[in-house]
Amino acid sequence: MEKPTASAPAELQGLRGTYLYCVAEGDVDPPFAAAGLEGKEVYAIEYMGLVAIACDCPPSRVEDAARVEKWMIAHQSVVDKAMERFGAVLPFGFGRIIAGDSGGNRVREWLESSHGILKRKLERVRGKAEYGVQVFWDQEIMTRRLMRDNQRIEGLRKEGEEKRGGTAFMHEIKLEKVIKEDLAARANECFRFLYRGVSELCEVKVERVYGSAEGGRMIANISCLLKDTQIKALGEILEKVNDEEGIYVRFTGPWPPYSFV
Amino acid sequence: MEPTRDITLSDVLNRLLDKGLVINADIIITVAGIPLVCVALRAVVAGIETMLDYGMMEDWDRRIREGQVK
Repeated sequence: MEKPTASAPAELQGLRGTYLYCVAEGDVDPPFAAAGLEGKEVYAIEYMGLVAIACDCPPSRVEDAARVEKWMIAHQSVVDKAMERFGAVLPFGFGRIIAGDSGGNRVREWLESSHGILKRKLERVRGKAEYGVQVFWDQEIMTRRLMRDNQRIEGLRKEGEEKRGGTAFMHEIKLEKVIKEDLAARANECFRFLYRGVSELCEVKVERVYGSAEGGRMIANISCLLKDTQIKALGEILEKVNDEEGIYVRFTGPWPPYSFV
Repeated sequence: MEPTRDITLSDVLNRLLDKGLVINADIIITVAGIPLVCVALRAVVAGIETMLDYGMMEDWDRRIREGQVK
């Protein structure tokens, strides 16, 4: 498969723009300094207490995905630094650019027109950070445990040993169906336990993207908006889930609140 | 259990793409009606998403873990 690349159309070369990282609130004295995409100097655009963190747009010739990977890491780095400096930030996703020379003015206009909404969003995330929780399920281990511990399935299995030919085959199918349903029910129960526990503690967002890793496939992928003081309580819920053989929890953070803006 | 900062490229991508603050499209100045710079970046990002779909990201996952942001 050909490696996907993209290069900017001819019209883009020489086009200027303002690359946006996040919005924060606060004092820009001393100035906020950071290195952004392609090492570009990051600066602050202010309006009435609100601050947009930006830099000049990097050269528009995009050569390969590895370079964009570096840009994404730089983006996340800048937003992280801004969060350390200003406390609450509203991060932009990757690639938000205002094309043209007067980006600073346009951003200021936008800060003015969205002032109320931005202040409210900042209040929502103030003093909190985003944390990611993923639960992985090892199908092999969970199946083995079910076969070993579930009496109904043990009974069905024994029954099957005495059958022959066509009936044995049908019985096998039935047994597989029961196992599959029991495993699905167990996974759902695990998710519900996690979700109930966490949503009593904080705001939760269920992610649409699932995946898999060494521990197995994901059965839960959620983002949580937490205060520092709540981390311990969440950790205790996650330990209960992780303690179960065949189930693994991955707990990442703190993140800027990408999922809660 | 404590949160870790040992993150993967997937973690970063899943947050940086399709999340974050929304801005009015009409303040993005366009050339011939299309925000060209955004389009160029999206094209590359779509390329990365395709590579993710095709499971070509293992090397990158490893690299980001080794030389991590923080």
